[in-house]
Amino acid sequence: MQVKNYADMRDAFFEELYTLALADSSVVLIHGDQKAHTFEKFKQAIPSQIINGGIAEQNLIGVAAGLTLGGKKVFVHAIASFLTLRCYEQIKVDLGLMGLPVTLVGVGAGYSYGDAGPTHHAVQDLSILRAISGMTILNASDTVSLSRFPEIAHRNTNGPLYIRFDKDNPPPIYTGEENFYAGLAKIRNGKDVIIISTGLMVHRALAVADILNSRGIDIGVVDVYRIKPFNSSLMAEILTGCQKVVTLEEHSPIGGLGSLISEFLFDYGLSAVSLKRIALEDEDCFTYGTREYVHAQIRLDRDALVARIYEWLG
Amino acid sequence: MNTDELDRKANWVRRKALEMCISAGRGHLGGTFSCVEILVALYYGGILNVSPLLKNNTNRDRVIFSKGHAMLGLYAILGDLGFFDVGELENCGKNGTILGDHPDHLIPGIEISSGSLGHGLSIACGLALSAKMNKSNFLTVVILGDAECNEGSVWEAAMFGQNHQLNNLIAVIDNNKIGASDFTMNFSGSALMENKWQAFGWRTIKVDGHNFKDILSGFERAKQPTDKPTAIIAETIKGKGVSFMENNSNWHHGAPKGEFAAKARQELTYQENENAS
Repeated sequence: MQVKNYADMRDAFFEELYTLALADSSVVLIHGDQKAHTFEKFKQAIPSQIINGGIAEQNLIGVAAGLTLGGKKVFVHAIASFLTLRCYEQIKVDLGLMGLPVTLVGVGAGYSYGDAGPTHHAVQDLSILRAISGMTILNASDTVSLSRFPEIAHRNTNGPLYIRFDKDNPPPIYTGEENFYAGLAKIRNGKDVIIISTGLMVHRALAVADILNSRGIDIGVVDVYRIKPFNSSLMAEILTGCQKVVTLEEHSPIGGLGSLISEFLFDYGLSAVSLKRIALEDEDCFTYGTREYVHAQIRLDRDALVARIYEWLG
Repeated sequence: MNTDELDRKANWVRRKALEMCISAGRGHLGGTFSCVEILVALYYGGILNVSPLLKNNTNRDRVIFSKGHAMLGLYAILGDLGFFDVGELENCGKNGTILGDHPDHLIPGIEISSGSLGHGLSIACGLALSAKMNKSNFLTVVILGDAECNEGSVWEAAMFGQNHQLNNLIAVIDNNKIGASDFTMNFSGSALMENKWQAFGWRTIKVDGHNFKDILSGFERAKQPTDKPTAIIAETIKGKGVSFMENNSNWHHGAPKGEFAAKARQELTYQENENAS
């Protein structure tokens, strides 16, 4: 598959969803008063397959459940924090409990909407959605992986699926040859230490690995693009021979990737592996500025991370 | 069924619900009793195209029972109609029963899992919209409690239903005017239920929710062409049928015991052999 150029991550997702929707009239996109370039294409070519449900996220989820019971393949789109935290009970009852394969599409992972402040930060969504039974969670690190998620979601018949992605347009990590059904990928070889990351922070993990490599540490990077169900056996295989693991995420330290990996290491009998969890602090962010500025303030920038990991390694 | 037969059926449903509640030692009789006639009219009055044979038919009418806690009467009806073995009603509230204290979608005849309030109207809107998209002519009927309408999501859905002109959707509001602990006027304000739905652009039809002639005529009117969804405001009495439960918020939840059970049975003097469905 060729790597396409997209304006941004939202574009990557909806362009591919649009292609699917053209071919399958049962695909319905319902959104909470959002905008995306591709929405105009929907409105022109297949207007009955796109619905602006207004700023009423709880209702969007219930309507999506009803449409699904009526035979539709439904994608619900809103800002990630509102789509998940605000409608948590609708997700639990209307989707999870009834096993309905509705796809939730949340834009604004982590601090994507940094300047918008903590109301808009999606930094607890992974924790709470992991707790929904039957939920699949995909977290995109680039447009290549994200552009393949609509197809994965379209094929899903097994309970709800949550796709989250960033607002910006990070450079590609993948080549387009991957199928993204494995759930995670080793994107940098390394034996001494492996940084496990997800979403936008995968790019930061690669930058940190570059520097640590140059200082003689053989450091690998793994992208967990599917948080749930987690591919434990593949992760165990990747960690063979590795005694030190760092998790890196722009998410609450409670219940996200770091929690997931610590649970995995313990449950899989790998508790001898040393784990350093790097995440946001358990506090809300009232620091405004660019993502880089905010990261520098909370020691999530490249150089601070190098120092933190270096210090941990002793 | 004619209205006399429907009255007898309603009495049987109440007595069955009472026995299920007494046997389980718990249950929501107040809200169950207020919507008995609504449910009996729907299932036995020729309003709906539903039956056990149609349970997988995509054109079947859909009943979304949003006020899930009031399920005792609905279970009795579904058992009576053969959606599941009627004997299962005896197990309601016992270990291992398929009939939980709130209905789930695994029960034959139940379309959605309900129990948390304020979910049903959104799902009903989605179903009604899917019918329009698929050019299918099934009807979606959702049963809401009046206190349930405190949930904000109900009004999100009301807006959505009107915007999409879901004229294949009927919301029945069981307007018994009592919540779990008090009269709704003491915590929901005094604005009339009918006015609220009208303000959201719905066609409203007010009926006496315990009078079959009135209820059936209301459903017939609700099926008349319109470009709006319809809200049937059913004026009802919480605990209807048992004098000491009527209009009494103490009987929102709980099973009568001793002399209360005896009195309730006495007032719902129904003989099993009268249930000729």
